[in-house]
Amino acid sequence: MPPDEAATSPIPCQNEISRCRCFMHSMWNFVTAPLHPKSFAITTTCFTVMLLCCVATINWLVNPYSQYSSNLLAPLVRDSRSEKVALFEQQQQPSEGLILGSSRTMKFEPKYLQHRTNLRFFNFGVNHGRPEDFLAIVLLYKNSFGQFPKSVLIGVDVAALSDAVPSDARLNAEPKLYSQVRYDLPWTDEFDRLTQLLSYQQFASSIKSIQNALTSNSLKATSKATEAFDADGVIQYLQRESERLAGSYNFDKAIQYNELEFLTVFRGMTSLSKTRIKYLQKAVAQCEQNGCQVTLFLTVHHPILRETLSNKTAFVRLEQNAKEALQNLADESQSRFVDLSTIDTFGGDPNEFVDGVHPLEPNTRRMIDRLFPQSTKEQYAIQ
Amino acid sequence: MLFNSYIFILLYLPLVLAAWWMLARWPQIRLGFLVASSYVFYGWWHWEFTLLLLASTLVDYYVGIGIDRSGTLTTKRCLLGLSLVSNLGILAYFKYCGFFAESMNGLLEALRFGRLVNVPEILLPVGISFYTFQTLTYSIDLYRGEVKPARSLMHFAAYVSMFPQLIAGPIVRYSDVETQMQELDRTPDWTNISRGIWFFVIGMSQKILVADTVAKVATPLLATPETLQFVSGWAAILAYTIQLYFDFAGYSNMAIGLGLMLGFSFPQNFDSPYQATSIQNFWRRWHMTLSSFLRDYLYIPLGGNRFGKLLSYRNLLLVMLLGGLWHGAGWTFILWGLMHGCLLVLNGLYRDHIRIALPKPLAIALTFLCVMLGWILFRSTDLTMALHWYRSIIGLNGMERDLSISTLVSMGFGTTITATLFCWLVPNTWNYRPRLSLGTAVALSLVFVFCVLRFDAESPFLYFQF
Repeated sequence: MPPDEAATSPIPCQNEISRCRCFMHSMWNFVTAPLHPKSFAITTTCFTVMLLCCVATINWLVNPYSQYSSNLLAPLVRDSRSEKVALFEQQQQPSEGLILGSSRTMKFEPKYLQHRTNLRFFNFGVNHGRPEDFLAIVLLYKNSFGQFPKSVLIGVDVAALSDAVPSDARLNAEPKLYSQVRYDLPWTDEFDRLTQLLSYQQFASSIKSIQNALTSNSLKATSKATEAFDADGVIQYLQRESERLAGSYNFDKAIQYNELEFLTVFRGMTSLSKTRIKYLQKAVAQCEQNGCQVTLFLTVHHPILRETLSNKTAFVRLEQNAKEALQNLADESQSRFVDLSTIDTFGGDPNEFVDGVHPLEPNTRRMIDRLFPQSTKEQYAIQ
Repeated sequence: MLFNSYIFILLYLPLVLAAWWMLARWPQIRLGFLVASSYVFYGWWHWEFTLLLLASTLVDYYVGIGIDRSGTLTTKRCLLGLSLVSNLGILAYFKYCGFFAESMNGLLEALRFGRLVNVPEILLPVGISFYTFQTLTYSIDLYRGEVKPARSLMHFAAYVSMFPQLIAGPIVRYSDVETQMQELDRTPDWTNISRGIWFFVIGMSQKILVADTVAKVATPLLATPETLQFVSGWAAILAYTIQLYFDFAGYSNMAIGLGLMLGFSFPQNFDSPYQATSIQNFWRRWHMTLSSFLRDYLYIPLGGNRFGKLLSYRNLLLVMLLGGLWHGAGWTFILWGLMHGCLLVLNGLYRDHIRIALPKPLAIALTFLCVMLGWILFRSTDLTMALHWYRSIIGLNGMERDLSISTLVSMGFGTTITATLFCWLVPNTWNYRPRLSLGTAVALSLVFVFCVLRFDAESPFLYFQF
């Protein structure tokens, strides 16, 4: 029945169907009844604020990406920063060296580095590691042990120097790291972290997380780990390894995923971030003033991904700018810069990659060989 | 600052609206606040460019006073000349310098002299084409005696910098807001505020739910224009046609909505242009404030249609060519303008000589097709890309082998065709008066919140580049 008719005709609300109809009609009338413009504006505003608060609260409580302090449900994505901080603190003896960088450096093995340098390293590579992370980590080391490490190896991604993205929200969410750089980061980064409570991606993940929790027995269900870290911080690609053994690992798909991701990254990046270069300078300066040897290198891209990015974005120019910036930084300080941006620079194998950006051990070992030729071992031994 | 950003929606807009309405009793402070907040809005991207905005404002304000006070026509003309030179000079330097240098090098290379001209790398200040046009209209209108000078520098600065329309229009003339600028002690008009909320949410949904969704079809296809074939060529052109309209109309509606929330009425900028029955009709419906600007400040001063058909056609061509150049410094934009000029001339010839009215659906379809063909030039980064694209849609680049439904869906035909039907069948936002009810409030809130959730894939408006 049309609403106008419903409003005028007397409907006997006696039996259940009629009562239901009555209720529906009165609801319809209530919802469609004209509001005064002032009431309309206030209702819309209040309802909007209420909805936004609901979404933000759900995201904060569920915390699917481990960005906030709440931990009601198991996160969908494990947070490498908090895991690495925990592993770092569990070390029986402080490591003498640190490997810093993004997930691309997570396969750099401290044991192999020790073999080349005689120093015990800890792999502190974190997802989307950027200069502000490196600064936070070296300061955490200093504040934990009262001194700086003897050597720091920093793998810099071109994308990590982007002028278009704020610091990773997971840095702000890890209190021990965040407290080291709190006053160095702009307030907009903190604002960005809070606004991510209102992102569609996070909300969809929260819903997925709730679904996961509801379909399992306990509310705090543990998600199946796809990756794990050894005690020295090296990553193990559990899922990838099981898929590889089963013959179902799809390398082409992994590359395609990288292409989509990095095309977006490099299309949004116009130049190197001056702020990020400053963080890097500060991290290097802090290390060197305290007798720590710094080695910088530019991380590698798989040739297929490299070609795509070169053809469709300003990647080549940005990479060249990054090389120049790192070389300048090395020239101005006591640090070394080694270009490892292509597989040719270290004699790498294109088949030894997880995907377009993550090299496997055979490649990282070759990189370490290139970074620390045999003579370096003696040099470190003398130090 | 973008309208579709968290900082604008969660911080800037609530603060500005609250302060604006709280300051109703103090018009002068209110005006100063509007100017300051608009400069913050503009300077958020590059604060240095606020100096350019300030310079343009100062020049035209004092030129305006001079024009109003001067007794002789010669002085008025000189002052108007100063305004034209300063505004067009700014535009020429920031927007066209690189293009002219590059074109000169092309010419010198063709003559085998090599690239002799240094091409400057100049960052284009966002919205420069819009606010220079606005300040220009003020000086010209004063010269013509159509408006009175602004009451104070602050009044004029508020008119030029008002944040809702500063970056991408609508191009507001001083006469449009002159009276509104005088009555600054007004209290909230809830009817206008409610209407403003409606416009703003509709505009935002046009941008985020339609334009950005369709962009996901167009952008990947156009990333490699050399690979376009017949179907993908058409998919790309249709998607871009829809994207551009919803992107720009969305921005205009958001600007109009924000204006209404502040108590200002801005002119309509779009009137369902894809329902146009001729190219002439299209230009009465698309970017209406630019069309009327070109008509009143270029076409009519050139003689309009007062000196016979031939000269009126010449004027049309010239106006559209300059209109094309206004959109961007590039040969593709010039050709796009020229193409529309030719289409307008053909339209005039058909109207004058053949005089057979086409059935309305056919006229709409034909106009839509012509406009789409023009967008190829508009979107192409260079002539090579345009050529590839044109070749693809006439089948010279071959036909896709797999033309299953799933392929067509993956090319985004479903989305774009739905959006096209939407353009043709749904009434314009201006013609639709929503019933102010709880249901509408809840529906608008839901749409708005969904749009806010999509801010994580922040995308600037296409017309910002102009």
